[in-house]
Amino acid sequence: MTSHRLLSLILTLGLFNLAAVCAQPSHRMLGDACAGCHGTRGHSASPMPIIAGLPEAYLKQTLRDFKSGKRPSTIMGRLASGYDDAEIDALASFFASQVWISPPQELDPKLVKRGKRIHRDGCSACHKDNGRFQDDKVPRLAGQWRGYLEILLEEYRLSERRMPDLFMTIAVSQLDEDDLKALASFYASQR
Amino acid sequence: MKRRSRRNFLTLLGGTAAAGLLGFPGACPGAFKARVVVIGGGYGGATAAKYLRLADPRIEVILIEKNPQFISCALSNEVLAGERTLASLSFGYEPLAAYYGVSVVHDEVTRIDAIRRVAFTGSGQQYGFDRLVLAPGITFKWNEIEGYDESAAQRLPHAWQAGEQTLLLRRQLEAMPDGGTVYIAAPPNPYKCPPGPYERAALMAHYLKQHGKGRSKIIILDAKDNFAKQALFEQGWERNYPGMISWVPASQDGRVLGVDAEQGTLYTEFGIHKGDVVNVIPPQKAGQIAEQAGLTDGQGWCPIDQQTFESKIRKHVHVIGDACSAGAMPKSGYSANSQAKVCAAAIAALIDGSEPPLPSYINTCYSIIAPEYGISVAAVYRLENGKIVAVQGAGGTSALNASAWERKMEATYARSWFDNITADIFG
Repeated sequence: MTSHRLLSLILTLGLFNLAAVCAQPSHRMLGDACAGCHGTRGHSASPMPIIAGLPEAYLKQTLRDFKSGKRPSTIMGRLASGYDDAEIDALASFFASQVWISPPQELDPKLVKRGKRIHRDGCSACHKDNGRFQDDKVPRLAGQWRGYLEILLEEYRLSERRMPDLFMTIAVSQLDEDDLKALASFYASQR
Repeated sequence: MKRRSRRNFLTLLGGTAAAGLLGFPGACPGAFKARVVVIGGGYGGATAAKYLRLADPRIEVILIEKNPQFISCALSNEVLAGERTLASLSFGYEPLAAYYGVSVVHDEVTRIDAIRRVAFTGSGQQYGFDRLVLAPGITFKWNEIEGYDESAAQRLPHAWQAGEQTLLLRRQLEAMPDGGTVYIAAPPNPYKCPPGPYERAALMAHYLKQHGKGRSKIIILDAKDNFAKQALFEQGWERNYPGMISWVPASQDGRVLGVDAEQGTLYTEFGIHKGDVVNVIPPQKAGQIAEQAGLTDGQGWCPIDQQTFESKIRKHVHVIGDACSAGAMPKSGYSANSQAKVCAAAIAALIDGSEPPLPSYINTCYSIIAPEYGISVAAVYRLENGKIVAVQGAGGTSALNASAWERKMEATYARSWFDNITADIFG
């Protein structure tokens, strides 16, 4: 073996080892595994939430909250615990980089109308632009599945769920069950 | 590297020549860099076909599946319960062809020449390939339970491959009078859908209870001493169907050794059990074509490289889903879907002569005990020293003390899982 080949061998092995130490599955590899429940690239069927195109910081925090148990869940805590911080960041980045698509939904126009009033009077300060607005703390609601929004709002009402966002818990406690259904229908009606 | 590219060149040449000879519709020499043939269009195979095309549109993918439609075994226990139709579990392959450019062929592969890399079908066609993905699912070890063969299954249905068998078992349940006895013979490990027999007992009980047959009994005779989500099932049975379901482990003479199909009788070592409805879920092994192609081990399953799913016995042949032994992953629809994606990414890399990517896998198995009572088990897996292992500190089953609301949500999410995974595969 010539010294040149030896050098390149050492370099190759060195790089390979370095790669092995820092190795993490690709964003796509990690994200594709979630599609069994969240649909291809996060475009889910109801009532699993659509997560394609949600804000990266919001997804990072939500996955961390599932993992720590701060946010209650049926199954997401068990799954989020399977990833380290770097992998959670990769998952958040993967789903944040997808394009949100609002699916067509069958909705009761009366409920939508009632929900619009509740939104205007109580929710529009944070969930701006009829729920289309999103930032690090506020997820998009416009075009989300009605079924999921109903479950989520019910979770905020149920004392057993102990949702992490106190502000939302208080806000939702002012509303009755029909209000929540109306609100879910309104956001679901938006594109 | 040089060797690999030469081999690829020869393969391409061979593939092109074969395509030319056989006159594939739409096969345009040079348009594709490689051809992958996928055998079997279930949870694993159909996912692999789609994700291979997503990974690299310059890979030609031919999916060979004998049936015009896939019927999901997952959630077929809801058909037994009368809560779902078989049609809602059936999926066609048109979207895979129309939206993803998969060439779908309805035919049965009867022989594989892994050296020459050709798959032969029952109708006399030949398909050359650069790589093959085999996803044949399971087949039964007929007569391992003495007297239980294909004709016995017409009397004592297995209903472990959804379709006519599911409907047969459903009709038998419908015909059974109140106070009757249902036997379920549960198979030894490993088998497809570990929680399935126990979910089946629950949903049969649901049907019987709903239709004025609440005095009936369901007895599970098991070849095992424990089973998936056992504590959750036992709690769920007792809460929803008190006194209706009992389970007999192998250590208490639960293992069924023989049947008399005409009489509807099951034989264990010391006992004779006669039921009004008898469901025998027989011992299993990899689908027939895997065995025929010489890809199976002594137990009847396919040993594979757990990163690429390439057979340890034959190069260029990958085996995914129920038929393969994939480390710690159970034989489930979610496992097959997850493995197919890892396998597709590996094949795309191997075709380009690069290293297969680092894998990541998930499994989630929901079971529905009553329409508003679901439970689950989940895990995230990674590759460690060449083996698929569950990530420590993650996964596991639903909490035993979960609230009624959580049980209801898990039943809802079980059905949503089905809608999502089937859309991910067939949509």
